[in-house]
This record gives sequence, C-alpha cells and structure tokens, in this order.
Amino acid sequence: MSRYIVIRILQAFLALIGITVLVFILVRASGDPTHLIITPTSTPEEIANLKKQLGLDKSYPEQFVVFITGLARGEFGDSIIKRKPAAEMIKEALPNTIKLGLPAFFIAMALALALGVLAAAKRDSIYDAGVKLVAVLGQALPGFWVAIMAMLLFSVRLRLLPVAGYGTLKHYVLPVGTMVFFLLPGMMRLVRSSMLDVLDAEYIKLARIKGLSETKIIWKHALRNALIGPLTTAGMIFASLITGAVITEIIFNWPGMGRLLVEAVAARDFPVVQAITMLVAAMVLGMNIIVDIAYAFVDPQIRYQKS
Amino acid sequence: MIKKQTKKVLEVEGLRTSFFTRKGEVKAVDGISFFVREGETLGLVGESGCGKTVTGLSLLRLLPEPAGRILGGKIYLDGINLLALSKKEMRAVRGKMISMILQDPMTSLNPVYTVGEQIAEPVRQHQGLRGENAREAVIAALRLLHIPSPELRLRDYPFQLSGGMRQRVVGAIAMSCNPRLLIADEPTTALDATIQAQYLALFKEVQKKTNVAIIFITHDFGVVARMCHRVAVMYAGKIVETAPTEVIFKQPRHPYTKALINSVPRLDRKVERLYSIEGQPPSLMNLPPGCRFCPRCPEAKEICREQEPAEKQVGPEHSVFCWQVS
Amino acid sequence: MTAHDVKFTVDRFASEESTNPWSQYLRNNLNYTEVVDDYTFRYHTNTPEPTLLVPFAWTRILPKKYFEEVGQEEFRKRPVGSGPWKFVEHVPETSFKLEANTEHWFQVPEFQYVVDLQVPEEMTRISMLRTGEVDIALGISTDRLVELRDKEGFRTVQIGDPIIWSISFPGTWVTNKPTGDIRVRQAMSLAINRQEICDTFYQGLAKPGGRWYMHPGSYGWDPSWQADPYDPERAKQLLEEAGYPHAFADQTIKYYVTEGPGVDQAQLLQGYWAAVGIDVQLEIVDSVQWGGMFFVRNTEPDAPNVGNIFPWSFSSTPNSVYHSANMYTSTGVHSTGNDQKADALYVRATTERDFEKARQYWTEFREYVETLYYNVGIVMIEPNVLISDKLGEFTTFKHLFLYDALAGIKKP
Repeated sequence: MSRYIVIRILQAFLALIGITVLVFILVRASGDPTHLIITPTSTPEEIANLKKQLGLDKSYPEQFVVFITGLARGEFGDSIIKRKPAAEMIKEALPNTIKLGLPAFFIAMALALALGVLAAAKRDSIYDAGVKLVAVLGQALPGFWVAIMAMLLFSVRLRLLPVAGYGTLKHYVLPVGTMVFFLLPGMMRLVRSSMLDVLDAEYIKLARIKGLSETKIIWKHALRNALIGPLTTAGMIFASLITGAVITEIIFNWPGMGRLLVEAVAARDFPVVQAITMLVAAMVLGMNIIVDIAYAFVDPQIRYQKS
Repeated sequence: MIKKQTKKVLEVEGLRTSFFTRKGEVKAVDGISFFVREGETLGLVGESGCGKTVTGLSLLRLLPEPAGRILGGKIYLDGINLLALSKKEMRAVRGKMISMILQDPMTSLNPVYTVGEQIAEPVRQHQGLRGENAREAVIAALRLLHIPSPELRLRDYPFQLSGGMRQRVVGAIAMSCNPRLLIADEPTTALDATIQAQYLALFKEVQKKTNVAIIFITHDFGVVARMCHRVAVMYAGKIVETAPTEVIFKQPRHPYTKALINSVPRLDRKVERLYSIEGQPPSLMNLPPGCRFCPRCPEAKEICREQEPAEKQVGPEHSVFCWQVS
Repeated sequence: MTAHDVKFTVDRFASEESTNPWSQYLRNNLNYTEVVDDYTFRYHTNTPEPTLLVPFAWTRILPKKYFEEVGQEEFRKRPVGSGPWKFVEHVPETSFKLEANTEHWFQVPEFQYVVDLQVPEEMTRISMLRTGEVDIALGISTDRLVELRDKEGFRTVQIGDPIIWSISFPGTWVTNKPTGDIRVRQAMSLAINRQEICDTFYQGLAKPGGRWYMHPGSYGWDPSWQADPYDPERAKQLLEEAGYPHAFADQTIKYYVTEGPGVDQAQLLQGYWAAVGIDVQLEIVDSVQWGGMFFVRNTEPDAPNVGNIFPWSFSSTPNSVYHSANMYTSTGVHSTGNDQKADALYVRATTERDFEKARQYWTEFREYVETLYYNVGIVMIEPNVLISDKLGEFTTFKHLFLYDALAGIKKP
C-alpha cells in the first residue's frame, strides 16, 4: 500500500510539472497583460519599458527559467496588476474560500448522503419524488438566478439575512446555502442510483435473510458498497471548490479564490494565474490520491490488490 | 429413504403469492400446501419460473416490495402462523428460526466485510452474543461446515476465498443460529461437479448433527435423489405431485413428473435422446381455466381443460393433482 | 506638510524606478527640483510646459519623514496623507475603512467613518442599498437607476465629471476600407441621433457631445462645443459622393467592443448606420485582445485595428492634454493621428506660457482636429450614484474624486 502511494505521489508530481509548463505557455499565448495596464496616454517606449520591467520582453524559455528558479525558492512571482506577491494574494483569498467551501461541502455531502439514501431506501415514495424534484431544480435552475432570488427573498424582502459581507454566522447562510444548492443535486442523484444498484444485490437479500434491521442493512451493508462511485465525484468536487465558487463569490461579495482566478485570467496576470492553477492542479492530484486511499478503506479488495 | 415420522416443523396451507406489475397480476404461487418434518429434506422441484424461489422467499416474508404480496394461506412454523407476526417479530424469525442459502456464492456475500463479521451478525442479533462468545459461535459455525483453520479464515474477505469455500461460509451463516428450517435455493448450481458433491455430502452431515428441516429448491433430479426424503413437484405456481423420493422415481403419477424424470440423463439407462416436454409453461398472468399442464399434456382429456384437478391421495404420503389418475 | 515633503514626493514619483504609468509626465521634461524654503518648491523643466500643472494636481503628497522612517512596505500597510480622511483598514479585494481627519485644513467630514466596499455584482449593490447595508451605490445601470429613483424613492447624486463615449478610427490614411474616406466618417457621425440616445437609452441622464478628452472639466473646455447634428439625409449624400460601398476594395467595417454595456451601445450605433446604408460588424473581444489593438500603434494597412472602429467610455478627467496627443497627433499610440498641422497646433498650444493665448491655441487645435474625424464623440453620461435617506446634501468637491465628494456630505 505505501509503495503504491509513493508511486502515485511521484506520478502526481510529474503531472504537476506538465500542467505547469502547459499553463505557462497557454496563458502567454492568450494575450499580453501590458495592454490592460497602459493608459490612454502611454507612448510606445513606455509600453516597451513596462514589458521590460515585468520581464515580458524575454523569450518564453528565458521567462520559464526565471519562473522555475523562482519556484525553487518558493516564489510564484509578483502579480503584474497588483504589484504584490501572487502567493500573498492567494494567502488572502484562500481562507475566505475555505470558510465558504468547507461548510458548503460538508453540508452538501451530508445532505446528499442522507437524502440519496432515503430516496433509494424508500424508492418511488413521496420522499423519492421530493428528492428527484430537488435534483431536477438544482440542475436546471441557473446558479446566478438562484443566488439573486435567494438574496431578494431572504435579505431584501424578509430582511432575515444580510445581503453580503462577512463577520457573523448570518453572513454565511446565503452563500453557503447557494453553494449547497449547487453541490447537492448531482451528488444526491449519484448516491441514490448507486444505492439502488447495491440494494438489488444478493448480499443485501442475504442480510435481510439473516434478520438484520433495515437500518443496519442500509447504513452498514448497502452504503459502504454504494460509496465507491460517489467517492470519486466527492473528491473532484472538493478539489474544484478552490476556484469553483465564482458565482457565489461574485454575488455575495466574498473575496475568494474563484474571483481571484477569474480576474487574474481576464487581466492575463501570469504569476497569479500560474500560482492558482498550480494550486488547483496540486489539489486535484492530491484529492485523487486521497480518494484512492479512501477506496482502499472502503473496499478491501482494492486494499489487497495494491499491497 | 423415508424418514421416520417426526414432528412437523413447517406446515404451509393454501399459500398464494402474487406480483402486481404494470401489466397485471402475476400469480407466482397459487395455493400450495406442503409440510417439512424435523431432520427431513423436502425437494421443491420444477422448471425455472414455476414458483419455487418465490415459495422460499414467501416463507421468509421477503418478497421484493412493493410488487410482491402474500395474498392468502397460512405458514406454520412450530405451530406459529408466520403470516400473523408483526414485521419486527418476523425479523426475529429470519436467520434464527428460518435460514436461506442463495444460489450464487460469488454475489451473496458482502464484498467489504470479513467472513467473520458476516457470520457474527446473526449471532449478535439473535443470540445476543458479544466479543469472545460471538467469536466462538462464529468459529463453531465455520467448523460445522468443515472450513479449515476457522480462526484464520474469519479474518478473510470473500474475494480471498474460492467459490466452494464461499458457499460453505454462506452455509455457516445460515447455520450459525441453529435454525429450525433451512431453505437452500439451488445452492450448488454455481459450483463445479466435484465441489458440488462435497457440498451436498456436507449438508447431509450438517442435517444429521443439527436435525434441521431443509427445503431443497432445485431443478435437478440427480440432486433430489441424493439429498431429499420427499419431493414436491411444482408447475406454474402449483404443486402437482408430492411423494417420498423413492416413490417419485419408481412410480411417478403426474404426466409432468413423468416427463421431468424422463428428461434426466441416467447412467443406468441408455437413451437415444433425452426426453423433452413440448411447448412452454403458461403465462402466470393469463392462466388456463383447467389443469395448468393440460396444453402440454399427452394424456389430456376434455375435463382437464375445463376444471382444475383436486388432490388425490394415491399412496402413503403420495398425492397428485391430475384428472387422469384414479 | 512642507516643501520637503513635496520634493520627496515629486522626486520619488518622477524617478526611473517608478512603474506608475503617470510618472512619465513628471519625468519627461524634468531638469531638477529644489526646495527654496519650507513653503516653496521649484521644479525646473528643460523646455516650457505650462500644462504640467495638471500632472502636479494629480500628484498626492507623501509625508517624507514618516515614509523614510517606516519604509515602503510599512507605509503601504499604514499610509498617511493630507486628505480629509485617515486610513483605518484595508482588506484586499473587499473593503477600505477611513476615518474623518478632524484636523483637515479645509473640509472636516461630518460623518466619522466611510467604508468603501468592493462589490462586483450590480444586483448585490442594489440589494445592499435596499436593506440599508450601504448608503451609496455606484455603477448602477441607467434602467435600474431610474427605476430605483422613480419607484423606490432613492435619490441620485452626481459625483465627478460625465462619462464620455466616443469612437475612434485608427489608420484612416493607410486603409482601403470605407473609413479611410473622411466623407464616410462624417456620414457615420451625422447618422447618429444623439438626442434620441440620450432621451431613450439613457432616459434623460445623458447629453449629446464630448469627444476624446475634450469634455466638461477638461483643459480649455467651452460649453459651446457641440457634437455633430443628426442629419441622415446629409449622411446619405456624403456616402453617395464617396461612392460607398463600391468604391472601396475592402468594404468591411468592424466595431471592436468588449463584453458588457459597450455591446448595447454598439448595437444602437449599428442601427443608425444601417439606416443610412452603412454595414458595420460587431466584434466582441476579450479586453486584453482589445487593448492589444487599440493601445499599440500599428499602422500597417492590414493590421487588425486599421480601418475599424474602437469605442472608449471613460470618466472625464482634468488631465486631458496628454491624452489628446495620443489620439490627435502622429505620436499617439492609438494609430489615429497622422497630420502635421495637428501636430504643430498641439505643440503650439501646450508650450505657450501666456494663459489666454494658450487657451486660444488649444481651441484652434480642437477646432482643427474636429474636422479630421479621427474621433467622433457620441454622448456624455451623467455620473450618477444612488444614495439613501441616511445621507444629506453633497456640498463640496462633487466634481473631484469620490472620497473628496464624500468628505462634503451633510447629515440629513
């Protein structure tokens, strides 16, 4: 098992290098950030000067060497637009993202699990119909619209919650709620269909024959087998949360990573884009490994194969 | 091989089970009666789809919900009508009083729990044993089914065991609480021939030790000959003939039984080709008014088409449902 | 604050190390600086440049002693200036908190604190105004602004100078597209019903006129300067004279715009042009691509900017002289100017030391470049913000910057 993990980490590291090179090239191929910094009065010499100061006059390989040597020292470079270290900007935005993303993730996953299992266990009942409705709504309604409607209803009309900002627990309700609303349906459907598959299995029949209670059958025998599919998705959702809450962050004015990335890409702020993509890539790759390890915990067969 | 007349463990009277589908009612089991004695093995024989497995699941009240429903009849286990029990009381019967072994050992064990855990569950549930006591009971069950080094095996996961071993584990689960009745639903069809023979021998031994009553569901008369004391032949949701095993082979009375026995390949008889029954069993959604076998029956007369045959006693513990038997 | 602080600030701002794009104005013509006495600072230029007054007005004075004591990093965290507000707190990408400077020489704010929230979504800003979480909402689109004003009783106040929307024609002298013919450009201007845009699209919150850095609040502005009238007949006549479209080898005219309100504006113009028979294609591009075309001088005949149209909406700014050079003279980055007379008029206007003469020369320069149709002004949009009942009158500095305007708010 540990040998397997070491191999997976090495693979992930290679993938990270590949992604870094790719992002480095792509972001540069997509436009020149100096075009956003210059003013209506800038002269061609000043533009050239600016490029030189930012190191953008050098060839790609030369820029890459600068970038890599910086990385080796643990530096991602300074933001072209904000003129401060990209790492510092991430350090400011990341806690906000985590504060929003972690509760949203865990609430959504817990709800998805509970409701998905309930819908599967009580198939074709009123609960199942309710769960299906929530799933359809969640996937059909545009996120932007839902967030704004929630804001208009709960904040403007009912005056129950603040519109935006942060500080108190109340400030979390709307943004976290909106994110849960986005994250829940897909996961819930996945849990439901996975559970339905498992509940048809012979070993579930045998568990019933043994005289076990439905609770034990569902939460012990069925769920653990039904988790394998949803686990991968949960891992990917978790990794994507780093930059995935753009809409929520914009509407509820939450200065997180999603907004930072969108703004950095729009401005071709290379160091910031590179730093965030590397972080996201590392997160995705890391989550993959964690999911694999989690698999091994859930499914002993995988555990034995890999050792 | 007639068993000495011991106490009847199970008595079923007029059991009717249907499935309600979108297309209509499927009468899977349509008024059957039979019994099993202590230490006795009753073979429930018939083609696939005749209602054997549904009968087994009905006894456990484990029909797939909400489609499957028991519509009528009585199931007495040691004199208690199981159909009158609450859901909770019924759960206490399952695994403790009645056990069942499913067909495919590859799929009937939960892949993510150890063998020991899966055997321990009914022990904990029904006997209230914990810790070391539960472990002892698990090891005893594994020993009963002749599983070598049970102390080690109980830590194994199903995928680490061979098919034959797994089916023994399923047997150990079934026997772990020392049940009164064991329903074995074609437990050997998924095993290869030598393993099959071992498994059957093992079962006989287990029965001798525990005096458990067994309902052996099969379509294989070879297995019946080796395992069963008595046989009930099912056709299209009905029992058409019941008899002690020796009698059924020597003097089958129902035309369907005869056809089935003739279709069994035998070492002592050389035949040009195996006998096969013409036609298909009737749809359980749209049954003919008279005898259900009549469309395929070589001996059918007018009355067979019009009226359902009544039970006729033709010998000791030998009854048959056929107009042409006198 | 003394002349030493001023010298420190100007030297720092004009230094070669400064990456601020505005530094060039203080740097380009600088010979040396000196402190004459505590309240006299002198800036010596190489050649006469009266318009330098404008960049000076733009330069915020830093406290020399404090800055040198704590260094740049610490100063950024705890800045000190000389305005009506004192810095309290800055949360990146989120908010600024300022406290009234009770010792300000001219304007002590009535409100103790101002918190500036950076809220990217318009609907969120409106909601916050409705719930009372904010008292001023900026950047609200015309439709919403009018709705909230008329139906929900919020008041509007103008802060700063109008937003000027104009369009530019790069490379007119090298292109073989229709925009290379001045008659076509003039026709395009005459085809636009500016009053209608102001009355309907901007619901009365805009006025016709203004052009590239020649607008209310700009150097030498005169309210009598007017935009072209709406004259579609004359426009059609001019097009006929120019032989549009068959006289042109390449007939396509592209209007490059970035995603956002500019697209609506573009569609308005497209409609007016279509009405007189001019076909213009909208090209919606990313802002970096857009900047690459409009902010880089490229006058190759087949360059993507040449012969096409680039709109620009900007808040008016007093520092308009240097921007004008970029649009109307041949040294500009927008690839629009290419006329020796315009160049000469610009130099004359910006080097004249007699104020009255300089103003006259500037007017002559403006009148001349207007006839070149490098840039056509569309409308001037009122810089309205929405305010709640908790704020009273805006008394002073309304035409300066936001924080200056905020310093003059009375309590209701």
